[in-house]
Amino acid sequence: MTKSIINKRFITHTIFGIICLICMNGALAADADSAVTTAAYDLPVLLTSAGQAADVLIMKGLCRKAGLAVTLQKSANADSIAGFKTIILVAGGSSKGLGAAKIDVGDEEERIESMLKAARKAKIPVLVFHIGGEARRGALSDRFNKLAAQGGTMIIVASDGDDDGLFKNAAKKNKAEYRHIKKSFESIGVLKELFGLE
Amino acid sequence: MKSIKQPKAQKTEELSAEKTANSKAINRSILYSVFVIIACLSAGGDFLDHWQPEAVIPSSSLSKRLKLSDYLPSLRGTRGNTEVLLFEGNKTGGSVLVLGGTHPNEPASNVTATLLAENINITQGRMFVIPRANASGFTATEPQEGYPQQFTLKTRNGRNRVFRVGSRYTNMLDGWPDPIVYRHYPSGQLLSGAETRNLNRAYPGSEQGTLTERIAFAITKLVKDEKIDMVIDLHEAAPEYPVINALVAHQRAIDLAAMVTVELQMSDIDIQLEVSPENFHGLIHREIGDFTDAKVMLLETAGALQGRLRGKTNADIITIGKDPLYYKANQLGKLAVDFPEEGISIDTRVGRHIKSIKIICLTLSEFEPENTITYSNVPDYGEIIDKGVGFFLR
Repeated sequence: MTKSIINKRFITHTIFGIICLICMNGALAADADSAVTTAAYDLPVLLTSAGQAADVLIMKGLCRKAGLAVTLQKSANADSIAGFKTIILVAGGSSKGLGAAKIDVGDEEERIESMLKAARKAKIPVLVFHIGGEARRGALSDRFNKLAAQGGTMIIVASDGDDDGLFKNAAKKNKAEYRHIKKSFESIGVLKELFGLE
Repeated sequence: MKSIKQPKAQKTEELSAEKTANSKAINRSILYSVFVIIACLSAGGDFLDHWQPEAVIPSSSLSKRLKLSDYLPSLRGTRGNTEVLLFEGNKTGGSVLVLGGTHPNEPASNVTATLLAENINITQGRMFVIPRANASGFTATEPQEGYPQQFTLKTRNGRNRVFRVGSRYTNMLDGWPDPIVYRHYPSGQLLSGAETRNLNRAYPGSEQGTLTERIAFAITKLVKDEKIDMVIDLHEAAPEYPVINALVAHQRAIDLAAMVTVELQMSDIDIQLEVSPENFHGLIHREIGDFTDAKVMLLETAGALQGRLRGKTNADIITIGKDPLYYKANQLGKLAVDFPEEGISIDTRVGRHIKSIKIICLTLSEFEPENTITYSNVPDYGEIIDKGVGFFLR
């Protein structure tokens, strides 16, 4: 009699324990899901340049600071985007950078256009960052800035890089999200938020 | 008779007057000569004074006082044989070389290296400091620039610490005459003749070359022999120059440099990153980066003294850093940096350099823990701004 009560109790406790474990797992899974859903953009991330300015290297540092792993390919093309779920495109031209990459303005424009076209086709979102301020505006830079702005899913501009509204207007036209940050290092917070890295 | 005698007397009088005039002229000549000799001695004294290097008083953390001739004996007895100060911690770590005075007309560079040498208390790793990399360039100012010979900074003891202003180039007396065209060794790149005396166009240098090439060779050899991990070269440039408030890095140092840039920007120090151009030879970040295993970074801050638009050129333009013409140019949007009405003082410029050196050492330690450098007693940017550079000099 006592043995059967003990057995019943044991069975009840075991069942209760299993139910608790299932509930806890469910809760944990739900938490994990919510962490994933807060990230608007997914990994892996390709980091590339539109204009070959050194800003792309600073962006790599900002990503590192945000805890975001990225693959840097300064001259990524339509073929190299395969397998990536997000592209970060850093806009701003540099004649020295173009010279170092041994390409001319036309080559760079062609590369950006074909890469953005392939990204649209593959439905890979493109985050456009302009972090160089006014120094990365002007005749040379704007050729790349315009291309990048037209292809951005989201555009983030730092400091005085958009005083004339070039990026803001492009974002409005393409229904892309637009954000202005005061200092380039505020990109760290934006990246954390977009990739759910808090 | 009278008529005959008169001319004789007249002649005697004339002779006597001539004699007096001659004697007066001689006296005047002697007086002028004495005046010229005094002026020459005084100017010559000033000129020779410029040849005497002012003392750097290293901190108690100094382990060795070396000379560049320890790396290239042919520099012994020349004006290029500058002092190399070695600070060594008790714990093994990384090795950093800090160069001040590559261009002796860029005062914040020499003052930063001096401040570092006079304060650092190193606990891990080694730091080599060369306050006057081109010591010959400190022995003359640049012709036709109207530079002041020196400027002073008040120390915490109320002493006026004198720093001399030099030339961008090696003293002409050490390299006369300049060739019409300077051919860089070993690349063969051609530059204008005067650049033959520019230390930052002479790397990696040549053992048998001009004094400037030999200085560059000795620095390159120091980097190799001492297995330096990081070279930091300090500079100043004109506010209208595009590579300003900048960090220029060799491609092997670029990830580290990008991180340093981010950290500096987060500390509210406006700085841009530049990659060392691959085809421009003679520059320290290109050649020491290519010819040794060290990572190389060059730092630029904005000094009105270097600019073409500057107005009155005196010691204040160096220390206070104020220039109404640059302020006007800034208002017109013609500059590469923000030049406020109050100027960019030597405290700001040295503070930036010191902050950059600190962040470079910190980032090097994070990226390469085996090359960790730890030290104390080097003031931070804010302290330098608050108390002034002089406060931290002996």
